Order: sequence, then C-alpha cells, then structure tokens
Amino acid sequence: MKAALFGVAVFFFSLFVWLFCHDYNLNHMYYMQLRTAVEEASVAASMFTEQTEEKEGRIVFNQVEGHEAIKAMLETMLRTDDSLNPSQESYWQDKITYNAYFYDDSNTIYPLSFTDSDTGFTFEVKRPTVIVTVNAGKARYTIKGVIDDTINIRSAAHEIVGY
Amino acid sequence: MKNFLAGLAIVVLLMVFPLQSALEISNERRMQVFSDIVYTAVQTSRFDGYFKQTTIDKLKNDLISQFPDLSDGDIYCNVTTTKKYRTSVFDERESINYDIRIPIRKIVAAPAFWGISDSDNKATAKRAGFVLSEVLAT
Repeated sequence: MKAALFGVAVFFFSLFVWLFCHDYNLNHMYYMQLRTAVEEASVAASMFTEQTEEKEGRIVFNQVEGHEAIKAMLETMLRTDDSLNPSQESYWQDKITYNAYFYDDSNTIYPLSFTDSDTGFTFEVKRPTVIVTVNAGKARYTIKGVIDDTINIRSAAHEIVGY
Repeated sequence: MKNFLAGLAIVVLLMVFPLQSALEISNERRMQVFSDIVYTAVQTSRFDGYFKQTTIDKLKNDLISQFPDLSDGDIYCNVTTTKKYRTSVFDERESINYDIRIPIRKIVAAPAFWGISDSDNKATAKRAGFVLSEVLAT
C-alpha cells in the first residue's frame, strides 16, 4: 500500500514537472515566432519613405504608413484583431502593445546611441533606422504562480544601408 | 514480490513522461527547421516580388530532404505567385502572402495510455503571413 501511494505521488509530481516543461517549451517556440514578427514589423515599417525627401537625397520615413504596416504585420503574425487583441486561435492572451522609433535624416544626428527603456535593447543608429518593441504579454502556463508573470517582450531594428 | 510488482507498475507509468518529453523535443526541432526553411523562401520572395516556381520547388525540396516522412502531397503551399511591387503607401493588395503547412504525425507518445486514437494524435505545423515586396515599379 505504501509503495502504491508513493507511486501515485511520484506520478503526480512527474506530471507537474512535465507540464511545466511542456508550457516552457511552448512559450519558447512562440517567443521565437514573436522575434520573427518583430523583425518583420521593423522591416515593413522601413519600407515607406517620403518620396519628395528622397529626391533631395534624404531618407525620411513616412511614419503614418509605417505604423499601418507594423499593425498589419502584428495582426497577421500574432493573430489578433485590428485593435491588437489576440483572437481565439492565438497563443497570446493579453492585448499586444508596441512602440516604434523612427530615426532618419530629418530627426537624427548620426551616430546615436539607442537604448530601449522596456527591454534594455541597445543599438547604435548610424543610418536611417526603424526600431520596434512589441510586448505580447504573459505566456500560457497551466501551473500558475511559478514564472508565469514574466512578460514576452522583444525589440528589433532595421536600418537602410547603401543609399 | 508485491513491492517489486508495484515498482514495476510505477516505472511503466512514469515512462510516459520521458517518452512524451522526447517526442516534444523532436517535434519542436521539426517546427524550428520548418520555420527556418519557410523564412528563407519568404525572404527570397521579397526580393523577387513573388514566389517564383523555383522558390516553391526549392522550399518543397528542402522540406522533403529535411523530413524524409514527407511527400510532395503532404505540403500545403498557398503563396502569392503574381508579381507585387513596392509602394509609397501601405497597400495590402501589394503584399506577398504565404500559408505553408506540413503535418506532424505524432503529438502524444503513448496515445493508448490517455485514450487518444491515432487519427486524433496528429497536428499541422503552419507558417502564414505576408511580407512587402522590394521590387520597384518601373
């Protein structure tokens, strides 16, 4: 009887350990997808520049269009609605928030040292650059209260080279 | 003898967990390799303005060479095949879309233990999204 009880206890302990590892690995996988989404968002935002400025040999980002592109990218890749609230099929649970920083020939003296206050991400801006930071909120953990308070936040930069 | 039998039963029960963990690591690696291959194809399409047939063929060949259990018919590939151009304003009609999926044959290591049928014991890995074309309209 003692052995059977011990066995049941070990079974449940193993179940908890496995559940934690499962959730941790799942979160790692989606965190890697978040990284790709943020990188793609910064690339998409940097695609839109002011044509009139470009004729003068200056790169100036069209920030309105840049924000449109970032939102569209996050909606698609993180599966959210147009207010960036995750849909049913999304892994994420909290409303997605983001910050975008546009450094270009109109507002920057190069080089500029950038440090993101949310992630600590540092980047030396030497050319026109778009930096995007996305906060995707908490991970999904079955066992609450261990490390599920950690938020998933990621930064990426894309610079225009060779103009 | 009784203790030995109880111990044996416990070991059999506990074997489920390392087997499941091993399967999940294997599936995670599959997803990661799948993501990397899709990423390469998507970046190629960005420069071409669309998914050329050569890009699609390379994508499928890379997937089949990485995953011997896959055949051409197992790969779902719905991508933009008409040329898109870089625009001065954001226009979804000029985006290069992709939706690529491959099957994951097994997601639970001991399905019978949990009462899961073989037909339910599978999933699909999916990568879908869009990128903007780098091709300038002439």
